[in-house]
Amino acid sequence: MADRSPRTRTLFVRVAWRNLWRRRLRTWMSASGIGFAIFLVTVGMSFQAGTYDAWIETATGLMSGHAQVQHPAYFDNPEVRHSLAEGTDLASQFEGVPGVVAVAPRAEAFALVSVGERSFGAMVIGVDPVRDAALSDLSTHLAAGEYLPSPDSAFVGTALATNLGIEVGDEIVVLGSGAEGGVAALVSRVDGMFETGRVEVDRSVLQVGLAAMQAGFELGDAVHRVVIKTRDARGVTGMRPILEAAMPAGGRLLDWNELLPELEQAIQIDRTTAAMTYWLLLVVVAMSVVNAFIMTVFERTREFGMLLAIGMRPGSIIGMLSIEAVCVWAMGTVIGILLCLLVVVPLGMVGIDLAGIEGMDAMAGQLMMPDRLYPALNVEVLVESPGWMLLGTLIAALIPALRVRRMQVVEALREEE
Amino acid sequence: MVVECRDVSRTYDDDAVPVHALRGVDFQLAAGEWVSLAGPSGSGKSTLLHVIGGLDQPTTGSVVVDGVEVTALSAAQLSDLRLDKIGFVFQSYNLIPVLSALENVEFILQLQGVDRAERRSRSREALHSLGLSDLENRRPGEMSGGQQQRVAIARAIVTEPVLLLADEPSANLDTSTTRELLEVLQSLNRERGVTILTATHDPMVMGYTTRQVNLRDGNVVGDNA
Repeated sequence: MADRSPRTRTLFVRVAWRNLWRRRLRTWMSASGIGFAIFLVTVGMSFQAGTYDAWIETATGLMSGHAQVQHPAYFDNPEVRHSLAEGTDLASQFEGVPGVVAVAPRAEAFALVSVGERSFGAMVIGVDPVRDAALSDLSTHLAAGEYLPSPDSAFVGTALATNLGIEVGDEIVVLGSGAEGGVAALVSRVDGMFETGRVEVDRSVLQVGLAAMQAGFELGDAVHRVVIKTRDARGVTGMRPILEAAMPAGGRLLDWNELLPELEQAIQIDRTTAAMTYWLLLVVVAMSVVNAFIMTVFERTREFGMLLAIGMRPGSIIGMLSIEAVCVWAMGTVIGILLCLLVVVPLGMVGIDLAGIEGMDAMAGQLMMPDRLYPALNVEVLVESPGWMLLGTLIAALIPALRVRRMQVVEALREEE
Repeated sequence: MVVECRDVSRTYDDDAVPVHALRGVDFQLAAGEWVSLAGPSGSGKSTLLHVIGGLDQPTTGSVVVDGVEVTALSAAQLSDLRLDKIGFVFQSYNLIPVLSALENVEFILQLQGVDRAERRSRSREALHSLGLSDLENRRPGEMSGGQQQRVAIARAIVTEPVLLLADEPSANLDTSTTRELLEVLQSLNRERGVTILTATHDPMVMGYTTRQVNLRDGNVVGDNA
């Protein structure tokens, strides 16, 4: 008769659970080891997730947004003529898309910015100040003056302003190539300055009003980017079909992964580095579980011999040991996840003050870090390390348990006699 | 015949010098018999018991239990044979320490896939027949050696096996407990017709059995059939 009915498995669970308490200290040690490893890994991963969220929000929040619609050739060849016609209307089309929280059209060109005898190259970006402020936090980095209060205002990076030797209220001349090939010229008044802490932005970006930019660069109503902010940056890939449905023919949709490939690479590198540490930790804990199960199998050799003698199959005994391993893992997981929640949930609400850490403030701009870091819990954080630990625990239990397959019943029955 | 052994030999080659535990043993056990395999240590009585029970394989020869050639069975088939046709009582009780007396008896029925109500009823009946009704919720550590051995017998007979094998069942028991145990086995043999094969060197055990087979140096040297 078969010994693998569901009823039998219920019995195995009962026997396995009770067996764990024959060596209480060993069980608690194993479960605590698993729990501690899961705690460390989940807390580490929640900090990573919070950091990545911060990186993404900081990086996309400054300029790029979560997604953009561009002329198909513009991303690879950003020439002024590669524009999208009727940009303002196009922006309006995306505003009603579910999950989209802000949309802003932008026209831009690389140009020479001059004041008196001084000239510097800069990226001149024409923006709708109201719409752009809803998705870009550049305006919040105000260092002096105001953010584009009038159509002929200019918003200049402090490093560029220093290079040009200008102050708020000064006039600047922008010279470049228009969309039709003619000379584009623009005169604006510096009404505000920004300082993001990112040198390449502060030194080379200049914002002006969208209408002034379109007029000066012969763009008509055309724009180069329609920048989109969604409710969740990580969910933007899943939104592609809806966004593409709202996109005009001849447009190209790019999400932040494509717009900022270096950000995705930075996240992957950080993940890989951390994963190596986590794996090392999980392997060390799994080794201790192997040790515990080696002890268990040796101590219970005669018992296993008796079970084999009365007709239990080796596979069923190994199954029972696997259930014991799963029970230890479950205890460890509960311990680890509870500890993780105790640490991460409060920190996730109040955040960690990075600005208060000495030296961090100066590095924040380069590291794309916000003032406060909020560790984040998600399904991946809560499932990944317990999942790997389950696999590790089962393998750790199976290594000694497989000895049962080679067990000679008569010899096993003589153990400890 | 419940058991038929023909020219059974068992040689252990583990050491440099081969050890001949059984040398061409011929042995038959009829239904309803209670036979003791007697002899000094190393005579081969336990080896013969293990070979008949499918716990060990003979080097040569044929062992047939209830019409099944044991030497031709796979490991899985041997497990099923032990589960369904043979009951074991060991020297050291060998109960599952984390289960109660009732659960220990039920365990083997659960391995057979017997449903809950039936296995509970049969297990209680087996314990009752051995005078253990009051102890069904006790775990092995809470029972005396004699009580544990009776639970082991209850577990062995609850499946209604064709053969009950008992290896030195009295080895760890005092005289009065041994007598009680033997009376239980005698009752099972006489009243329920259980066929029993016992390996022992205890004269008291031999006195209860219906037939005595003597072994020495792996050979059958006497049979009072």
